[in-house]
Amino acid sequence: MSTHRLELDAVGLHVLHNALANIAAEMAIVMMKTSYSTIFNEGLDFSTMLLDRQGNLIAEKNFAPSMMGAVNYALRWTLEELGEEFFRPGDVVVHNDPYRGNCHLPEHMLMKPIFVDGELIAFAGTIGHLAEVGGKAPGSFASDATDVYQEGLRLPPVKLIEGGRYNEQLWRVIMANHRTPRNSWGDFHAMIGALNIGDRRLTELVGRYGLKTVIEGSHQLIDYSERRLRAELAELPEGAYEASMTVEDDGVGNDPFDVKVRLVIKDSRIIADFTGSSPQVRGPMNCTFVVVAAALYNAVFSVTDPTDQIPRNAGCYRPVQVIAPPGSVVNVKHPGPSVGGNTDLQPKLIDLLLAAFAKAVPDRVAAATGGSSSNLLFGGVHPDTGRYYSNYNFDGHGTGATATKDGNDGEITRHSNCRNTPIEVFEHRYPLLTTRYGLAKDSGGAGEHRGGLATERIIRVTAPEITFSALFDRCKLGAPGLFGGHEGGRSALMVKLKGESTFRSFPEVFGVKSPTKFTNVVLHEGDELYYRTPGGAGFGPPEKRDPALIREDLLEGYISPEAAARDYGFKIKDEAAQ
Amino acid sequence: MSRQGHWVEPTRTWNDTSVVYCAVCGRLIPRRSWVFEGGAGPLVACSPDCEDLYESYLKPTYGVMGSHAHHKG
Repeated sequence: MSTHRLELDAVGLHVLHNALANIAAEMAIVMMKTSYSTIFNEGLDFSTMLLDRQGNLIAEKNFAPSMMGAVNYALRWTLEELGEEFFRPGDVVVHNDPYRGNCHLPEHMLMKPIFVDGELIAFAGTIGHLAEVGGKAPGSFASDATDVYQEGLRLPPVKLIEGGRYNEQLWRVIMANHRTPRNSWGDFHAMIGALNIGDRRLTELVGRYGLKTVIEGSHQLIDYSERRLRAELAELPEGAYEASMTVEDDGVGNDPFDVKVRLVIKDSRIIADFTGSSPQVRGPMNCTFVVVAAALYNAVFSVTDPTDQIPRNAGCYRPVQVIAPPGSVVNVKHPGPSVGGNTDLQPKLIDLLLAAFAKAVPDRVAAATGGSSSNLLFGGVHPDTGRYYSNYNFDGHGTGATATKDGNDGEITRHSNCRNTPIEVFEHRYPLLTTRYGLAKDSGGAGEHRGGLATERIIRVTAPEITFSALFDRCKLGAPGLFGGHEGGRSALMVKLKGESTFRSFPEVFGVKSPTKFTNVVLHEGDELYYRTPGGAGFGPPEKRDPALIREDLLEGYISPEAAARDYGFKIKDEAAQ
Repeated sequence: MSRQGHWVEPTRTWNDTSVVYCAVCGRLIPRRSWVFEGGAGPLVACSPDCEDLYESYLKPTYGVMGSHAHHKG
């Protein structure tokens, strides 16, 4: 029996949408406030959602757009594989299988069925990147992994909670395979708490407006979003637009590989066809299908609805179709590794798609971003606590410039939308001292509009030893410019051993193959690590840049006098004479 | 567009860990598959929509596609 009446007219649907979106947002706040790991409570590398009985998204709090594909597919595929009867009241199902709809192994999706009066009405879901899930490297980010088994513990859809009780056998397996089980315990419970809030609030909403109104209204909202997106797509010029890119290496070898896309816009629909992309690579730069789908959704929303006016639900995904050949870098098959495909190929797929869109709507796209999450992983025994710790850290890079603006400086990749970890928290939690952290001069690609600046950082080890792994990209190939804009600055990782005076490359010091992708290098107290993320690319020819902006860049220290002269023909002496 | 395909229920057991991908779009086929004649043999797809996608886009763009038995991983 409902206590309030809600007409499903425009106003009523708006009220219902806000109510559902607020439930997803409250779930996210619960997760942020109660999680143990900095990747959740500082980085916000997770999303929360409500889905209908068939697994269709009805509302989300999308902190990490990289997860949109998994959000759209993972529960629906689980329902299809195991059947609705698999889900019972009080269950929580966990799933991180990259071959069954997840982004990569660290991403764990938790799903809770919501029952009202014994009837399954919906699901609450949350998906987040656990900081440590086992495998060959602390932080579960082995940049030289050659199969999924080196990346960590893989869970097909299984019950973490069954009928409201712990599935203790499963928990014991998980805790025995994660290096930091206390963190996993806390983070899983933060996720479960978020699901419980989603369950409680949706049940309250049904109590207020009635089940029929909530269900029918949700479906009308999905149809509404589909209509809105199709209307936006109808405004785009129809045609087939192609783009391709070369990626520098896969982390295992030094050979580059290619990704191609053919974007077909027709009849208020979009097809992104990745046929012709390289076969899946040996290292972990492969993407899963849902990662490619997320890249496409991100690019489509950037072009059609950049200010999030259309309610994000399953309707937004209906007019958008991916074709990703299995066994290629854009659809990895078992047992191929994929941890870096999500973090470092996905942002470049968005750039690639926007490069294709640029041929249709040049004023709506940005030049390429730094395109690397700049993943730095480390772990060891903390000297203050005697406990094992592990952390997954990312830092901001430069974003690409647009037809009207310079790129943003020091921003975490747009597909993850995460935050960096403040130095104070970083140093409190881990035995590392940050001695330098700032924007990297001259790292933004020159152009009429300049690419955003990368960040650079020096950290000093303050524990007897720490094991580091890294997966940075765009070390050899910078972000490509658009319409005459220049390439963005390249990434770098260097090390200075205690007592030495200069930074040197990791291949030189440790004999690793790649300068920015390596696993399990041990640094000792007093050693220092320097890293620079990639910069964003420029948009339009540099000679068209407003001299006032060049002057401002010089004054702010964003570019050097040498770069001003080289890239823009800007002479400081001439300026002084004037 | 008239569809020629039909649904096929799987015979896999719970301890079979393999997965099957759609020959047309590449998506996971979690359980039952839509099988249709692609012109050079049957194609295993995830849904009737993919038969439409094949007929309206893939076949006109690239020609007929062979059977994709290797779409099992």
